[in-house]
Amino acid sequence: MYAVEVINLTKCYGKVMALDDVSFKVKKGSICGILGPNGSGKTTTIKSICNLIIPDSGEIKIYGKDNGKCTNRISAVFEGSRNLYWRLTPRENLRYFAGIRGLGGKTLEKDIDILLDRFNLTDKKNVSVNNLSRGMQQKVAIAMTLICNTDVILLDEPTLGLDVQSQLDIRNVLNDITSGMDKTILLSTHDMNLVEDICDDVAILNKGKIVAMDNIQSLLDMFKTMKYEIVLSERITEEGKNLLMESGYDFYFADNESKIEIDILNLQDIYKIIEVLKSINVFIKEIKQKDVDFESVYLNFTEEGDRIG
Amino acid sequence: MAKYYYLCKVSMEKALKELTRYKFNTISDVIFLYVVFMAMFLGIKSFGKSFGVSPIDMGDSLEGFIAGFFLWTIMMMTYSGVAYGLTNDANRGTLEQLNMSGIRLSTIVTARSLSDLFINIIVSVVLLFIIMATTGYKLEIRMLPILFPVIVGMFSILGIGLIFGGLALIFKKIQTLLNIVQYFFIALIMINPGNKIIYNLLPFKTASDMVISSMRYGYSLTDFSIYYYVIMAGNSALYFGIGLFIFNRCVKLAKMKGLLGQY
Repeated sequence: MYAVEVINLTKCYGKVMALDDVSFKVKKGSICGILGPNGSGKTTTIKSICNLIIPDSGEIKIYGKDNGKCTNRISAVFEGSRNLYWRLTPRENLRYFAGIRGLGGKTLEKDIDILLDRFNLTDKKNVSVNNLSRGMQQKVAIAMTLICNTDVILLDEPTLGLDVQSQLDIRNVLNDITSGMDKTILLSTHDMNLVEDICDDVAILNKGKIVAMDNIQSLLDMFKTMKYEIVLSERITEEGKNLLMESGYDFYFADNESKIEIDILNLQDIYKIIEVLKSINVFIKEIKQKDVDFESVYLNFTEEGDRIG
Repeated sequence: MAKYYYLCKVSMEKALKELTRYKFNTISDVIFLYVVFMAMFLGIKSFGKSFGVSPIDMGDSLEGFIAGFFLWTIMMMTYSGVAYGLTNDANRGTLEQLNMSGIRLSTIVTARSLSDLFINIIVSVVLLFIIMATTGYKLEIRMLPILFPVIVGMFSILGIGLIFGGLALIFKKIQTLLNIVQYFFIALIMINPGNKIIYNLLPFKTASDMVISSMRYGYSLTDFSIYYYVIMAGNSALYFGIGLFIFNRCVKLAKMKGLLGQY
C-alpha cells in the first residue's frame, strides 16, 4: 500500500493553471522529493495533500483513504520561519500543537523530552522560539510534526535560508526520522544535494505538470552516458564557437571558454563533435565522461519542459 | 472527550503564558482603556454640568456609564481576540497548522476565545476597580450575577467575531471594518429600543442589561424571570450559530482560493 497517492490533481487560480493532471505515488517509509522551479506547483501540491487547498478535481489518498478523512495522519512544516508561536518555548509549542490534536498527558511530556533530546534542543527547551537560531527553529518545527505522531510528514523547503551546519543538522534529522521512526516524508526543495543525499524517489514538476517521477538512481542512470567534458588546449574563438553551435548540439562553455560540456543522445555523436573541432582547428587536450549529478538531471527535465512550453 | 479536554487545557495555558510574556502589552492595554474611560467620563460630566443636569441624575447615568464601559471592554477584547487572533495566525503562518489538527478550526478558535474570555474578565474587573477607586462611584460587584450573563451572553459576540474573522481570511485588508465593529458595541450597550423584538434580537443586549441591573441596583440571578434567561441563551445561540456557519463557509472558500496561509 502507498502512503500517499495523488491522482489526476488539477487546480486553477483564475486563468493560471497551477496543477495540471498531476499524479504520483509515495511508498510507505520513503522520502520523496517534490522538485520544480518557482511557480511549478510544488507548494500547491503539498498544501492540497494537507487539506489546506481544495483542488478543482482529482483525488488524494493517504493509506488508501481520502485525505480529508485522514488529517490525523498528516503533519507539515511550511516554508520559512513560520509554523510556531514565537513567544512560546519549544516545549510549550510542542505541547500546544499536540494539544490541539487532542494529545496530552504524562506520556506526551516524556515524548517531548525524548524528542528535544534527540534534536539536541534540551538546553533550549525553555527559551522563547524567537530567541533561537533559524536552524533551531526549523528543528523545533520538525519536532512539532513528530510529536503529533502522524504517519506522513510534509516539508516545504526545510533547508531554505539555513547555514551549512544547520542544513547538515536537518539532513541528519530527516534521515533519522525515516530510518528510526518509520515515517513517510514528502519534501519540496531546491537543494539538489539534499535530494541526492536523502530522497529515495523524486517527482519533478514544471508548469504544473509532472515531467518525471522515478527513484533517484534511475533518473541518474538515464543521463549517465550522455554528458561529456572536452578540455581544449586554448580558448575557443567567437567564430569557432558559432561554427560549433551550427552543428546542432547543445554546448555549454566553461573555464573562460576553454572547456566544453556537451549532452549527447548517441555515443557516436562524440566522434562527430571531434570532427567538427578538428575542422575548425581547435585542439583537444582531454575528453572525459562526466559524472552526472542530480542537479543536471533536474535541469534537463525542467529546461526541456521550458523549451517545449 | 479527552481530545477536547486537551484542546481546552493547552488553549488556557497559552492564554496565561501570553498574558505574562506580553506584560507590557497587557499593562499598556489597561492604561489605554483607563485613559479612554477618563476622557469620556470627564467629558460626559462637564457636558451634564453645562446643561444644568442635577448631580443626582448625573450620578445615576455615570454609574450606568461605568457599568457599560466595563461590559464594552470585555466585548471588545473578546471580539478582537477572535477577529485579530485569526489575522495574526494567518500572518504568522500558524493558521495552517491549526487547520491541520483534525479538530475543526472553529472549535479551536472557540476554545481559544473562551480561554481569552477568562483573561479578559480578570483584566476588565481590575480596570473596573481602578475606575471605581479613582472616580469615587461605587457599584455592586457580585460575581455570579455578573459572570453568568457575561459568559452566556458573550457567545453572541463570539459569533460576531467569527463572522468578521472569517471575512478577514478571504478579504484580507479589512482592518478598518474590524476596528469599526468594536465601536458598534458601544452603541449596542447604549441604545434601548422600545420594540421588544428588536431589543431581543440585538446581540448581547439582554445579557448586558442584566449585568448593568445587577451592578447598579444589586439584582441577583433570582430577580430575573426565566424569560430573560431564555432570550439571553437564544440570542447567544443564534449569533454563535450564524458565526460558526459563516466562518466555516469562509474557511472552505479560503481553501478553494488558496488564501488560508496568506495575509
